[in-house]
Amino acid sequence: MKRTFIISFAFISLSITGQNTNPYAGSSLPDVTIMKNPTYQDFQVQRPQFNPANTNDPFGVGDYDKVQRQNQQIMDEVAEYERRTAQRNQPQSDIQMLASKGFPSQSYQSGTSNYYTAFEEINNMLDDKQPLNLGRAIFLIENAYYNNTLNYDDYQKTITDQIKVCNEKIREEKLNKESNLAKNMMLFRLISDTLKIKPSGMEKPITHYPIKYDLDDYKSEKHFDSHFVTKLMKSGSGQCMSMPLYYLVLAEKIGAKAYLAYSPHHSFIKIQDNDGTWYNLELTCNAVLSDAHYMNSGYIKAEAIRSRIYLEPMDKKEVVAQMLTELARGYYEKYGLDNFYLNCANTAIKHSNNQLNPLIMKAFYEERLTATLAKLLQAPKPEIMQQKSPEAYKHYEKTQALYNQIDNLGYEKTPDAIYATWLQHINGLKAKENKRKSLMKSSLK
Amino acid sequence: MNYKFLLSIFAILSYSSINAQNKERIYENTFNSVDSMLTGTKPVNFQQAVYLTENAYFDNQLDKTAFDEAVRFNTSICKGIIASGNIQYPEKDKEKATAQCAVFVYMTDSIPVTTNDGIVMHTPFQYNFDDFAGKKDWSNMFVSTLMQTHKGNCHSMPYLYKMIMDELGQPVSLSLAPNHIYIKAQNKRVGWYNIELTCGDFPTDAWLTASGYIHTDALRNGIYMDTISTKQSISLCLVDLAQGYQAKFGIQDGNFILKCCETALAHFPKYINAMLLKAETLTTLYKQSDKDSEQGKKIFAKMNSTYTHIHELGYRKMPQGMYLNWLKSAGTQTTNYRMKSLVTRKTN
Repeated sequence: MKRTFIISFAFISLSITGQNTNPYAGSSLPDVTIMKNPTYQDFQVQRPQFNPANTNDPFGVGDYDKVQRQNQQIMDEVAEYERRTAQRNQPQSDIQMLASKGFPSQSYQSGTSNYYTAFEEINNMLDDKQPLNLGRAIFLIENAYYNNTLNYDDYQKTITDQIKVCNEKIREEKLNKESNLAKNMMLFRLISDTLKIKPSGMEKPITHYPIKYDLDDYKSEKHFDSHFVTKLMKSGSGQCMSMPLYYLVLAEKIGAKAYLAYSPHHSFIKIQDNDGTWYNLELTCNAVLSDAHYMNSGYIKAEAIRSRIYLEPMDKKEVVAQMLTELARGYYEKYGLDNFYLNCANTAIKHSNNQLNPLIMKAFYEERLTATLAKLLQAPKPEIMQQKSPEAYKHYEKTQALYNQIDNLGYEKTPDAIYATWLQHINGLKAKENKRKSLMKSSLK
Repeated sequence: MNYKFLLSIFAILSYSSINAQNKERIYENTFNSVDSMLTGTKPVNFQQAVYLTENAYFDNQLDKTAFDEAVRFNTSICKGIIASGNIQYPEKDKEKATAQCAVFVYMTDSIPVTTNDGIVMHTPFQYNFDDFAGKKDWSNMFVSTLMQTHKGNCHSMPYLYKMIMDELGQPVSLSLAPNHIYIKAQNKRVGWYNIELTCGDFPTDAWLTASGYIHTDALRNGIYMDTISTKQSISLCLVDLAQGYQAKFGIQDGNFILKCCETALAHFPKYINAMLLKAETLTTLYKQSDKDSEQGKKIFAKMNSTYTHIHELGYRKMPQGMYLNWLKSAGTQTTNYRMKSLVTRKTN
């Protein structure tokens, strides 16, 4: 007659909050091989130089033997010092350098300067020293990744060509070409629907096809540039990052007001109608969706909406500021972590209300640094690190503080169950597409 | 694991022999007592504030000792559930999470309790579908009624949950949805989550938003689904007091109700129900007034600005008839909106 209640709360991994058994939270600690980071050979260990000729004997007539003895003593001491430092100095100075200055600069690597100039220009936009231009900012970021091999004129021409299609259709359907709503809806159709236009002077109508969803690499895992807008322009397929950005670039050109909003692992477009009512344009599946839909599918809690990290419309300046996190992402992909990465995050925070992504970047940087220091100090636990190097321990504290800050925004990792549903959905779409393909082949034969 | 099964008998309520003026004076006195918790002259005590509010409606006839004893009795059973060791929870904040779970189980499920007469099943608290809004009798909203009849609603049930948790030393927060109050609790395993006692469920924020008719702006501005501090909960009691007054005497000159609303808002500026009651009261007063007089115009302007403010904060009136359907669906729907596998029960 005895009943037992076993209440097992749904396990939602809170690894990010540092409640794991691993005291350094998140990543597995012992193996600290930092991706694409330096092997510390670049550290110049400062060794004291000893030159007997420089010994301080102002009169030059001292007791020669005494001087000799003193010199010998000093030389012995230096030898002993060098012997000891040979054992210890290398990692010790690494630790000091890392703890005080962070990861060493990657600026010696070729190509980094492209990133620095891109940052410079975007930063000027944010500081109002130069007009805001989202299209330009995106170009700079992607061009830096391609080592300055993209052509800006080509990029701009692609955009103007798309705008021509929009304007032609607006004219054809006799819509108000000044209307913000008309322009937005036309852009929405351009990206997610098939449009037929017949410009005057042309005999046959032109068909413009929608941008497809890139089912193969929507997470940008196979190729880093899969989420690039230029990749979308080239291939005609994009994902939940490149499609909304592409929309915004076109909107900027055609003069339509549109906003970007985030939901977990996702972004989409927000527009307002003439009455000020907001609509969410979901470009990946050609739909207008409710806020509640995003809350449900993305597992968004009320706290996250109150702290305005999700479902909050971001204007152009904020989107440009957010783009700095993209710049940093590409930099990290190519060169690893250093101050530039951190600087991008800090600048984004300075100019953006939505601090989620830059804060996650900062936390990531500090966590990596802490893990590296822990490895070098051979400190498997935070308490040991605190004993061995209070300066290194500060980075541990900083990591914890950043993760707390992120938690307080209402950010939570998407539960595995929710993510699995999403994957299922994608697999369903893939199966559908494959089916269509095989049909095509057989009919062609 | 022996419990003494105490049946606490509540005060017999006599309505007679107290005239209306005295009754209104009781309300004035109660207002002052509750207000003193807000101004800080008396310590903040949610249970005490709830008792005072209900006592006023019962014309000072609710036995304070019996009320407190009943809460303690409910708490003691919950303590027994905690002590049984049957709740398994692996994280460090075991005490907190176990208490959250035990009180939930106690309120929503049958609990075997050993008494002198053998084992007795303590039946769960039930939702009062007959009078869930206290329209037939306002006392159906009360915690004292819930403890006596085991029937309650989205007002009394979360209140009792909070009182028991306060008694256990593990405070939780009340939270608001349109025409609704529920519990927001937090532990290390799940982070923040919602407890819905009326149907024994853990609805997600998304479900509450979608089905509860909540505009995103209302979330952004924190008028719904935010945690309510204990001091803010006292503001809730003040509006309860005003509503009890209204149920008893009608609006009268509106002064008492408006005073309650204004005081509640002074300490909990985003308390939407206080704004709504204020706006509704002003509307009634405006309708009663000479609309062209100075006084009438004044009330009209005040009413208008209150409604505008309410709308700007993101409040949208839920269409009539939607509410009960909504609440019913909470217990029955198997949609994605429910927090899956939050609770699994095993029977040995």
